[in-house]
Amino acid sequence: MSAKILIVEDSRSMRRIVRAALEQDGHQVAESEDGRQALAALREVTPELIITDINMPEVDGISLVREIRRLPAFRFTPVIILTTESGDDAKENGRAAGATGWIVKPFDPDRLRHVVAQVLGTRGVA
Amino acid sequence: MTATAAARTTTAPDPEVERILAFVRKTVAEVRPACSQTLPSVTLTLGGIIQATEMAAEKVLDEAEVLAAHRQRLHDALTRLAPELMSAPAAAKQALIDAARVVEAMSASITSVMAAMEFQDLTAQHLRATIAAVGGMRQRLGEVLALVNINVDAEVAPVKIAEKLGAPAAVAPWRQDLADRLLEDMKDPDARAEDGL
Repeated sequence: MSAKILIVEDSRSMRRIVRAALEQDGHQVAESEDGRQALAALREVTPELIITDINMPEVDGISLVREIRRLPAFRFTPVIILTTESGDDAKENGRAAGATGWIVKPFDPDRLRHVVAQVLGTRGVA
Repeated sequence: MTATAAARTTTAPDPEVERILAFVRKTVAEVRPACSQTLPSVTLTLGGIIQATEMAAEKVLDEAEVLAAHRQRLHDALTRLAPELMSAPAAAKQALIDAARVVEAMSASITSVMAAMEFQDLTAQHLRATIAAVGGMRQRLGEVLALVNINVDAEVAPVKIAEKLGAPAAVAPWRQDLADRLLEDMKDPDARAEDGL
């Protein structure tokens, strides 16, 4: 099942790695370099899944998730956080902000694809 | 304080105070060049490493994407070839199966190469945090030095740490090795010819 996915990540090389992994499954990938750019992009594209880093300039990943949840069109859009942060506090912040999943870097591309497939497969399920 | 005591204070300072003052002078002499030269040099070097790894990772990713495009073309070609080999000898069919397996293996290898480039982002994050910490340390040190406004003899200052740090041998020993080898090559043109350079 292919889907439109938005990657929010300030590292160009990391965006390319994530994109390559997702395109293997036929997904259409859009990219933003930080939270501010992602919020602007969401006025024009309607992704079925958002994957975001946390530590980014301008608007960070946690703030981005909070902002996304305030937008009626994306209140239930799954958001996966992909980050080097692995502490419980950070995860709790992500969960409280409304993140759907959490993957710690360095990540295995196959694991990412598996999680994406799982998340997309449960869309619409409460 | 009596007049006698005051005179003793001005003419014969406490040896302990003298010792502390000497220590402060020496420390300030050591710390000033570190604050003004070494720490900026460290920051610059770390920033350079971030850029260098970024360029290297981008280059690898470029090549991996080219390989992935080649792999896809090969996959498509094998797909087109498959029906033509329906009535071919068993050896030809087996060759097609082997080729298809190799293409699949290439796909996994390309993914692994690309995933390995994650190191760049992780390294850069750690280095940026270090740069920020060094910057903060330098600022604090500058504030302390501004408070301790003691004139120190330049001769007392230790060797210029920043210059040492910026020297090729300290920043990147391979640069010195490379320079040495290049000089050796220039001295002996025959050796270059033998190496096929």
